[in-house]
Amino acid sequence: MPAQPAAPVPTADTHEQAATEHPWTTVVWNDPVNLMSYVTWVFRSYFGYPRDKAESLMLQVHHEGRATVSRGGLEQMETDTRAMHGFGLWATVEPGGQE
Amino acid sequence: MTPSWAFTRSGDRYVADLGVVERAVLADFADQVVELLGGVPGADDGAAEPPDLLDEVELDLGPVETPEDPAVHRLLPDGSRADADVAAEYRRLTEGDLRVTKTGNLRRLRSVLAAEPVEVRPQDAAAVAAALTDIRLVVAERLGIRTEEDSDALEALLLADDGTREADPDHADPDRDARVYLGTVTTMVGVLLDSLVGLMLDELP
Repeated sequence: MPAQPAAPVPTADTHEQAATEHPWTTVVWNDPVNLMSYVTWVFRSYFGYPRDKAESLMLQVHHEGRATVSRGGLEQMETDTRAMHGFGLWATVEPGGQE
Repeated sequence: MTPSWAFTRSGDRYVADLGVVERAVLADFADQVVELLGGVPGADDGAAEPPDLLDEVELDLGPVETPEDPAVHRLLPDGSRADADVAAEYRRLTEGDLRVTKTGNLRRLRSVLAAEPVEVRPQDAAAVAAALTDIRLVVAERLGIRTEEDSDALEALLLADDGTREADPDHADPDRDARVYLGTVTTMVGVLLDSLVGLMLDELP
């Protein structure tokens, strides 16, 4: 195994900071019925994502089965999930740090 | 190739050239989904409607059960997979509101289906697209479509059915006929949705 420079060891502070900043996520799950064009439209119009990012997330949902579409506090993720459900997408609020 | 009856832009409207039969079929499915959501079917959002169950239901902030009907469950999904507490809280806070929103969308679809040709104002396009999506979700659930493979199998069935089978009672296959019918509806709604979404995407900055 080639020698590698030592990676910075994450401290408790770093983990804590990340957890505070993005404690929760909104995950969109693949559904064979949702049209790819519609999913892209939802990501662009609701989240305001530029076309490339929206299409990339849509393709991730399609090929990998899921994609994390937003991160933040619990209440904001519930709001985003509620919006996704309103559009007919399958989404859930999941604890952060699982991506 | 996009069928001639799909949505196209005409002036400041999105227009679909659907005939009376297609409009009646779509309106019927919209009614069925409204009923699944607990609303009163047959009412569009323009007409004076009978009292709606949902009007009488105050935001009931008691525990709400996961829907038993898998089609309803798909319309009102769980709020979390990893966290049961978050899922319960989510359903308690949002399910009533979500039912109302979706019923409203389906009533908007019902309204635009009432006239020929079908015309959708840009500001109503999102609601109509969501309603068409919910119809597809319910029909797909009834057809048992849960994976891409299921979806491919249905497509193969529809391609194999060229409509020339004779109506012979001795060789009737009601299950297959039902699947072909529902599958055809799924395809039609998909074409309408895809064409509408194309126009909606054009409107984005």
